Amino acid sequence: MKNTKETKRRISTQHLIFTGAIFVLVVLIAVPLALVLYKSFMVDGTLSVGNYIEVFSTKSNYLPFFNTLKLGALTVIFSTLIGIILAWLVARTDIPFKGLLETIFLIPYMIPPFIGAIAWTQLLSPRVGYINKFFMGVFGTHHAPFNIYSMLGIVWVMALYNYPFVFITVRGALERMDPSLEEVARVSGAGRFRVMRDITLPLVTPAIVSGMLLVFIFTIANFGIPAIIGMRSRIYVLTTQIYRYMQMYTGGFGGVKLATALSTLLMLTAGAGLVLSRWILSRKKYTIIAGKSVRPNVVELGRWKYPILGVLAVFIFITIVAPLTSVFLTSFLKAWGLAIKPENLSLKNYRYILFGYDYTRMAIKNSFLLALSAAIATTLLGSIIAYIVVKTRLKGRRILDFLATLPYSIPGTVVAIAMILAWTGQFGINLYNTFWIILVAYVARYMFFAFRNVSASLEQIHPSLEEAARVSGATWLRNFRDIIVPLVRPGLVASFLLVFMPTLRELTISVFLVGPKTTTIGVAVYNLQEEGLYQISAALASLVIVIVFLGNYLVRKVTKVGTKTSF
Amino acid sequence: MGNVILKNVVKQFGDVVAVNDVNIDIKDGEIVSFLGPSGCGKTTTLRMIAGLDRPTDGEIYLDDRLVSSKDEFVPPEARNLGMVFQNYAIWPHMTVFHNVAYPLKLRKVPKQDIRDKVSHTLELVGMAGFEKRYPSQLSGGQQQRVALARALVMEPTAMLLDEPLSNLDAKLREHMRFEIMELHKKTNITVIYVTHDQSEAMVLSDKIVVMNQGSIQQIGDAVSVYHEPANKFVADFIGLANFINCKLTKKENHEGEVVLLGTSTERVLKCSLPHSQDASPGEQGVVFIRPENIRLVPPEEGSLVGRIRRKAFLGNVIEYWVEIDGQEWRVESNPELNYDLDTEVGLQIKEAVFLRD
Repeated sequence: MKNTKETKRRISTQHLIFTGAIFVLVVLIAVPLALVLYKSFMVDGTLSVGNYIEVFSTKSNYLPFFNTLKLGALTVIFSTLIGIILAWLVARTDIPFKGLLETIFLIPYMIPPFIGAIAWTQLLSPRVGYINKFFMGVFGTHHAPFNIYSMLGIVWVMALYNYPFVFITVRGALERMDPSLEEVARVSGAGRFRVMRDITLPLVTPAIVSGMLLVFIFTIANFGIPAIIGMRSRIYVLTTQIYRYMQMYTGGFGGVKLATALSTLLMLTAGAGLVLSRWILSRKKYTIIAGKSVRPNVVELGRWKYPILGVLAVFIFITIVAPLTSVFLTSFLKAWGLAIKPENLSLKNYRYILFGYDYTRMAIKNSFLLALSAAIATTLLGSIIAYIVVKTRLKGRRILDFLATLPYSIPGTVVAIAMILAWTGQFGINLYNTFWIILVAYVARYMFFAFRNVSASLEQIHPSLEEAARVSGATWLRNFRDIIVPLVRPGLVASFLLVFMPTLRELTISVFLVGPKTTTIGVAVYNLQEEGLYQISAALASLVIVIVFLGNYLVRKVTKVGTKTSF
Repeated sequence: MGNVILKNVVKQFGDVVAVNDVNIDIKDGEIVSFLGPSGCGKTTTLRMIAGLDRPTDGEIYLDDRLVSSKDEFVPPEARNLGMVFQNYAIWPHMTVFHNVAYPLKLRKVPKQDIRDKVSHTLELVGMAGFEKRYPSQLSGGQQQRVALARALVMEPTAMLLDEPLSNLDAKLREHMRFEIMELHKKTNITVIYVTHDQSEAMVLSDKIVVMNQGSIQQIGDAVSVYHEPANKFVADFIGLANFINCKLTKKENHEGEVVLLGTSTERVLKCSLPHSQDASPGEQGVVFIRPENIRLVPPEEGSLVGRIRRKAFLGNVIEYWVEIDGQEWRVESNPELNYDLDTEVGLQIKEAVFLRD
């Protein structure tokens, strides 16, 4: 009797938590996003497609749309090429220093894209870019060979910061693939290249497609790179055009209408990419079959080994070492444009941003506070949702899964517009220009990280562990405290850090939401850059890079411990 | 179809010698097993025959053609072999038809001939009608048959099978053993079969190559490796055995007598010496006796006397552990002779083999 009573009570608490979670996600995510869609079809209080007609009839509106498609397509092509080649070299050849190369190739993934863009403007801006100056000095011309402020410039930087998506998925597939699938093809009579074409490539295609999708979604959703590189040469994409509209009509709602229409378009483009990749994947009726032996076929590069390593070294130098060095060196310059000589370097910029300049001090304080609150809130909320989705059999738990995952595939710009629509008096609550609207947006956008991370940890806990605890006499709550929480602790710490780091340097969302007193580090770096205070923005950017690297190191450590202790 | 010859083949991975001076001569149409515990070098030897690993030293001939030596190395695709892996390795992105047709396609066989040969081979393995299926729609046993068909379809010099049945359940495994034998009978192809399962090797093969720690321990048919093992490893690996330390006292050709060591009274046993002809009286070694070669009798009739300490009913036999002078002897006996625990029994030894240590 006591048992049934306890079960009943537990189920009703579960239902209560479940309903609460659904409510929070609907208010936080579903309603704001629905508002974007709704408003895009509103003209003067009536339903109409007028906004869309306006979008597609003015060049300044449809051009950004086509630019977004063009940028997305070109970036996907370049990132995929780079990603596949690097993945193959690391996973399937006897190239030396594999472990080191692997770590290095993932560095671009950690660097905030807008900081990468700043670095590349320092290197390749006509006239003053370090690389341009170097070439002009060597060849004695006054004509700069490169101009970063172009479509190709945006694609170049975008590809360099997005190829890790393809690299990670393809490397994983190449390493997991059962080597006997290729060996049996060799024995059947296929030469090395024939095997690659007939067996290896078709089998990693799903991984390539998933990687391409991630690149596409991140590229079209990115604000920082096209804002820093493209706006100067009047190349606008959807994200920057939406930003312009919101800037142009600050206070009024004139621009908001068109911004919502462009946002919907952006959302649909991302959705189309998602649908297309799902369709391609669904036509492949197989997944990579993991082999039992962990000895993938290794191609001996022979006499090509060191030439290839040399090419990689140059690639790494140009794409990683040079931009990072440029940002760091610039951050020590007493003034922008001075030659890099010891007498021109000092710590003055750092002293200024940390102790002298109220704007950056406020930004640092805000960002830390926001990142901390967002990380705590998402981890808490994400854990509850993850537990319901993974460990209970409640009806409708899939809805939670969907709602928590949704904002991740929706561009940050759209999330920002959605928050403005929902929280500027629409429901009697006006959070505009406050700390809270940024926090709510962060929680909505980054919940996914916490949810996925904790879900993964929970899935690793075999039900028998909980059952054993219950049989030993533990109540549900006791079991939760003594068994579940200790086992997912590494997952919780990891999810905290995985939200903390990107929110600490967030730009895309906060650039729409900051008020005079609520600026963030990302926005500060961006504004300082736009105002031409390059060495100050470089100092702030360097600070961010150092913090991000430290954070990534911590995540690596935590997740390593995690795989050891949970099972 | 053809023969396979290995001469002084050595394979080193770094400092580890995986295969040490292996010599094997496999005749056209033979079915040969490489048998041994995991890590004994059997799979590495097979992979060297396939060309998937390159020997450190030695020569390999396929159909009298040198395919591997110090200076010569024919890549796997030019060796005309068929291979079946433990996990089948059916390409998941191709239908059954395309999987089996692939080796023919690579050999530029005309389309109509491909169709004929594929359907013939699929019929041979009992998979006719499955042409359009994808591997994910097949059971383990069916995938295994497709793998066999793919290895057979271009009439290879030899078919190499790497533990092909170890992923199947016990019943299916036994069934597939006989199917492979049937297939071999129909095609008369040379088959090399790697396994760690002694009964599989004994059922299937004309010749068993027993390997341990990279070296060949014995080559022989099932009867000889079972009854006349070359050494203690072979005797222990194949079937159950009692090993008792002894000293050779008498020897005439292949027959002799030993006196058991470590017993309280002197016990003398007759034995055979199939692999120790050069042993001389006075030499110490072990005498090896299969449990089924011991008969339990009343104490006064036995050449040895002991007490039953444990027993287990296994259906067709009863297994007894009989203690003699502190040593346990394993005895398999007819279930009709049911002795109680702690009964004193006599042991009659039907067959014993002397092995040098």
